[in-house]
Amino acid sequence: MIAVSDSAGENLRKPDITAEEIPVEGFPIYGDSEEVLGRYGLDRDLDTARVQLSSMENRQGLLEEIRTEHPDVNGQGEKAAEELGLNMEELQKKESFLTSVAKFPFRHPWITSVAALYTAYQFGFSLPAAIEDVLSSVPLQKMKDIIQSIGPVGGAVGELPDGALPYVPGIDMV
Amino acid sequence: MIETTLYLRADEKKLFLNLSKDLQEGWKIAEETIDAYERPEELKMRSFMLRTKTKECKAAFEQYSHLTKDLAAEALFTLGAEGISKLLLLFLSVVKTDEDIKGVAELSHIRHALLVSNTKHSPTHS
Repeated sequence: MIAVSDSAGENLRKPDITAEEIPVEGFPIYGDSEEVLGRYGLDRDLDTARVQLSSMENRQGLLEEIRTEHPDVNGQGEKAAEELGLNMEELQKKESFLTSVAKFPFRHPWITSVAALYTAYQFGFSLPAAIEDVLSSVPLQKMKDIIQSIGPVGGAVGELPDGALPYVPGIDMV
Repeated sequence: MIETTLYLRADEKKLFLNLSKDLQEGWKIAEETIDAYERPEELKMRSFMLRTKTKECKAAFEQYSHLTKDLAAEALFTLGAEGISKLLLLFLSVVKTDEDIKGVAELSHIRHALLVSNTKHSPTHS
């Protein structure tokens, strides 16, 4: 187990990894904290786990756990540890954000359209046909251009099909 | 309160104040001063995190023709505060009705929540 050297998520070190180094080959990226907390000798509390990853204390123990679970990481153990630290940072921000917006309606067509367009762009999904009235006041191509300019994306994605619209009016969010 | 407040940066506030008085009526502006925008590596990490939800997103599009609320929130988190800012400028440039302002207001609150989360959980040193 990795020792905890601090009791709060303060004074954390920025993970030493660039966008170009992500993803580290052979090492997973986690979408939810429950998938990773408690693994690699990390605590089950996100604050504490981030302190553990940020600290250089017992670094060797962490690297051994990573290499044991993911032998394909090979000589990239240090980068995998840094990537894991960044992954945990973003998981914590995501959880905080999702809690904050839980009370928001997410019903306005502009909001649902932005979310759907961005997701479609990320995955290269074809979108279901929709009634153009919903976005009639927004230049859709400009919206697509902005979304596509934001990047970076996680890998190869397809272009949105011409005329694709992301929202079907009359169907409530579930 | 989303119903009455818009969180706008200075450049966005300028666009809002150029709208007709009728459209501005009933809305208050809270200046968005937090600048905790995502680092490039954060956006890339978020993109890979969203990809772990591929099955759920695909199923939502197939079943409901759009995303569930939870998945929409994940997508907006991945898009990040800077992306939302660019879209806010676009939307503010095409606002025509009070319903449109409601969309701007909701998006501005979503960005504010993102910036607050970023501030709260960002590392404090390199």
